[in-house]
Amino acid sequence: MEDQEIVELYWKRDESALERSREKYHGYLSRIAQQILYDREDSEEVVNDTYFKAWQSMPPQRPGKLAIYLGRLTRHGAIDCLRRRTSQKRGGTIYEVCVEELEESVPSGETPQQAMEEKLLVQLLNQFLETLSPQARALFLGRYYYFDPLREVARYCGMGEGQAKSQLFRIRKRLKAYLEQEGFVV
Amino acid sequence: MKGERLLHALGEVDEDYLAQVDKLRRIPAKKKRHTWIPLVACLCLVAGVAAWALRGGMGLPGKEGDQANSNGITESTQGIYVPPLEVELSQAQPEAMIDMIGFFIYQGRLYAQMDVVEQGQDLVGEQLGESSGTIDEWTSEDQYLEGTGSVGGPFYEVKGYDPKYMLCMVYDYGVELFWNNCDITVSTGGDVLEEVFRLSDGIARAEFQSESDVQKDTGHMTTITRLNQLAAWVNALDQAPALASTETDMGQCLGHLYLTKADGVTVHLRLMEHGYVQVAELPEVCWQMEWKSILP
Repeated sequence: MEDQEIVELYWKRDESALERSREKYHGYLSRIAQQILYDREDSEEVVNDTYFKAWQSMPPQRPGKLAIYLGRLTRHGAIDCLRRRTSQKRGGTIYEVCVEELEESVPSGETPQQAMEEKLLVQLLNQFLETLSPQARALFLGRYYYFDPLREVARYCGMGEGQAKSQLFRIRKRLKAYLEQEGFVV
Repeated sequence: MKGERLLHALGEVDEDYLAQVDKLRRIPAKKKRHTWIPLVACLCLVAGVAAWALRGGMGLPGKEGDQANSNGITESTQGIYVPPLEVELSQAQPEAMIDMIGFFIYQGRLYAQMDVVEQGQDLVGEQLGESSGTIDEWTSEDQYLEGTGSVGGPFYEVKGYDPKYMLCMVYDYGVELFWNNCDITVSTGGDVLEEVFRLSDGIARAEFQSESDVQKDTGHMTTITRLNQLAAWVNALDQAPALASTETDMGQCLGHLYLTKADGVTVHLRLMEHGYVQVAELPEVCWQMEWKSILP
């Protein structure tokens, strides 16, 4: 079934929208959650929650790209889930490694609370992404949006792991310079 | 945490960017490298820039007396000359268009990333040099010099192969092969299949995948069991004269043939409409060769 037909089912409050979404995207969404959580049970819960959120949000939302929309909900859900694991010792998941790696891209500042609003940061990130080549953008988002393992990102970007690593390093440096240039301090 | 804040903000970036990446993530592994090229037409730019360095900066002899067509492919009695790739820089957004493929420059030749042999330790021969890995999107043309590249680290000869054509680098996930597939002249199939890949050593495994299976991402591959018949077909292909792809009536790609040797090196052939065959990493050249008879 085409994405727009599934979206239409949501809009009509037809519960088969959930089943169609599951049929088409469950594997895809599970992978996103799993990359962040490294826990099958939690991932399953997050993905199930995604369908519920989709049901709640459509209408009024009418996503043009359903996969991306559901993927975004899953990503948010998984990150929230990870945050809730307060009792779990940090360290080990790709998400956590990515957080650490991105630390170096943020200009240091003594007043992080005065940083620009989330919306502005997103806008700057979009502008920064626009300056990257499609390959570099795929590398960066594959790693930091989808949390794909370095080896996997390197593979689908058509490069060696070492090259991917060094490219990511350069992109992070460039992001830092870009944010500094825009006067952004986190 | 600063990094966490960035990751959170990344969750809201433009969905068009995400869709592009998502599309790439779904492409089956064997196709990915080749899919990238139409997705990023500018990908060859680095080779174009390197071509400048190779010709001017390193003073390699140019080919004389031959006529190049509009694509720079030269056809002569010696065969098809494949020049270093040249791509025009986008005037509108040059920086954004520049990107790297994995490559390094050794003895005036450009070795571009080709394939990974996961269990390829036995292929690694003597170390021949080290690439600086310093070339990136912002490197100026005059820095495309001997011993530089977009990938850094030592490179080695590949045992059983001519270092003029193939070298490798070693990673923890396998041995990455690099092939000098430009600035070369190809007269017959043997110039590539034999001179470069030494296919006469023997084909240990052969698999066929239809183009529609590739497009639909089914992962379906068919093993070719009649290897003797296949070897005879490869021998005939060795003798076939090379043609400039743009000068033929070659149509679309209909299938893919993966010929894997016992050492793990795989040659990827594209089976084209109207009975043509190409080596996947060398689209400028083709051979007219009936191929349906070898399919399972």
